[in-house]
Formats: sequence, structure tokens, C-alpha cells
Amino acid sequence: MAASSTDPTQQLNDYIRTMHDQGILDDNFDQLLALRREQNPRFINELISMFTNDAEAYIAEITNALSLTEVDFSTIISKLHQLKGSTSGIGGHRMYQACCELRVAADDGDKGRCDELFLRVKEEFNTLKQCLDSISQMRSNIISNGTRSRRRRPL
Amino acid sequence: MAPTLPSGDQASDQDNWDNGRLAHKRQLLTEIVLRNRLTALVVDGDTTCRVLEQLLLRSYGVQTQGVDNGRDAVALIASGVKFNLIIIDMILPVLNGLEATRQIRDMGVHCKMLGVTACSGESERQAFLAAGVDVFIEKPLDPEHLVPILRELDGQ
Repeated sequence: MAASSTDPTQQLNDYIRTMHDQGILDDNFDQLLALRREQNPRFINELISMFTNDAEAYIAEITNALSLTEVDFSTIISKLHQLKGSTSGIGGHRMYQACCELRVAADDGDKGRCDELFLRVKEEFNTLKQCLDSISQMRSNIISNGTRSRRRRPL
Repeated sequence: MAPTLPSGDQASDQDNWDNGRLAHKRQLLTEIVLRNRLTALVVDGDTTCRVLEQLLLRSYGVQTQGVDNGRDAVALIASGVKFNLIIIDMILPVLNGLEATRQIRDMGVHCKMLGVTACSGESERQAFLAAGVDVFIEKPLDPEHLVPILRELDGQ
């Protein structure tokens, strides 16, 4: 029987496909999905939570470094390196691109350009976070429904 | 096309998340069986990256240990712990990846070292190779790069 549009699994698949089409996610997110079979069912949700918490911390540190009278480009580069790496791992394509552009500006020591590009990094992070939060919620609902279904099965 | 599951399980709702893109990724995750027990050290200052790399290695049966800075990596190697593979990032807290790699090589460690980093410039690549890594890989570490290396280490 074909999955209907109200099928939660199909809705999740369609949502992920849309995020790919918009360039928010890339193939690296698919790699996570391929890995999750080897792990516990909530692995993806835990990883998403880990990524967003760490990303928020990196963004806070970059914000601070940019706000100094004498901009701390060394810290910006260091934290951006980590942010870029974790973003690529989670499959956040547009955010990754924004981080790459900011890295160039930081290497050049261009505060004005850094300010402008950092705004874009934060915008893309917010977009990615909303996307990942939606995926987490949909997955949680599917996992919960799956658990309830198994409990209803006769012994 | 319905997904093919290696374990022969009934396709569950979770498994139905597969699409054509996932099939290839999953195939790479299951296509090798290691004959030997390999060990790997993952050195990365970012938790997400370190966890992901360790999980990917473990999915192939590689036993892993992770540290989050270059100094601890050097100290661990200096203590005598041996690994078949070291995966190390370039920019690390406390002691950077270039210097950590040099110090590990200076100790006479000849195991395979992969420089897996978000740095993508040619100068960074050359610097990391000159420091002593055998392979330079731009993040994220993926099965396409890792599987041939694991096969080589396993003597396949």
C-alpha cells in the first residue's frame, strides 16, 4: 500500500528532500541517517542537540571576539574552524558556505566584512536549527508511535 | 524501489526513511568486514566532529579512543598506547594539530595518520602533509575515503 501524504514517515522524507532542494542540507546529513541504523533510535536527535548547543557556544565566542576594540581574529578563526567542521559533519550546506566566506574575511583581518558575513552565518544557523529541530520533532513522534504500536501487540 | 536491508529485517517505519541517496551510503557502511581488530585515535576539539568520526569508525568495528586537544594526544601516544590509525584535526586547542603530528612522528610512531580538517587550502594541505600525516582529507570524514584505508590497514 502506497504511503499517503499524512504518513509521518513520508512527511519526514518529503521534508528532508525539500531541505536538500533548498540547499539547507546536503549529502552529509544522509550519511548520518545511514549511520543511525547502527546506533540507538534517538542517536540522530542527540547528535542534533549536541551540534546546536556547541554551535551556539561558538557563535557566542565569535560575537565576543568581534566586539572587542582590537578584534581577536585568532579566536574568530579558531572557533570558526570548529563551527565549520561540525556544520559540515551535520550536513548544513548553506551554513557551511557562509562559514567559508567568513573565514576568508577573518584571514584578511577585515572587520567590516566579518561583521556583515557573520550576520549571514547567524541567519543560516537559525534556518538550519529550525530545520533540524523540525526533523528531531518528527522523528520523536515516529519513534513514540512505533513504541506505542509495539506495546499494543498481543503477547 | 523498496530498500534492501542487510539484516533481513522487515522494513520498519524508520527504515522506510531510506531513499536512493541513502542506499549507496549504507552499502559503504556494510560492504567491508575487517579480519583484524583495528584501533584508532580521534583527535578533534569539536565534540560533534569527534563523536561522528568515532561512530563512523565503530560502525566498521574499529575500536576507538577520542581526545579533544593535541597535548593529550601526544601524551597518550607517549604513554605507550598504540593505534593502527590516528585521525587528527589541524586546529586544536592547547597544542595544534601540526605540532602534535610532528611530535608524534618524532617519537618514532609510524602508524597511518589522517589529517581530517575543515581547512581546505592547498597551503594547509601541504603543511599538514609536511608535518607528517599520510593523507589529507577535508571534513567531513566519509566512507569513500575511509573504507580503502581500513582495507589497507586490515591487509585486505
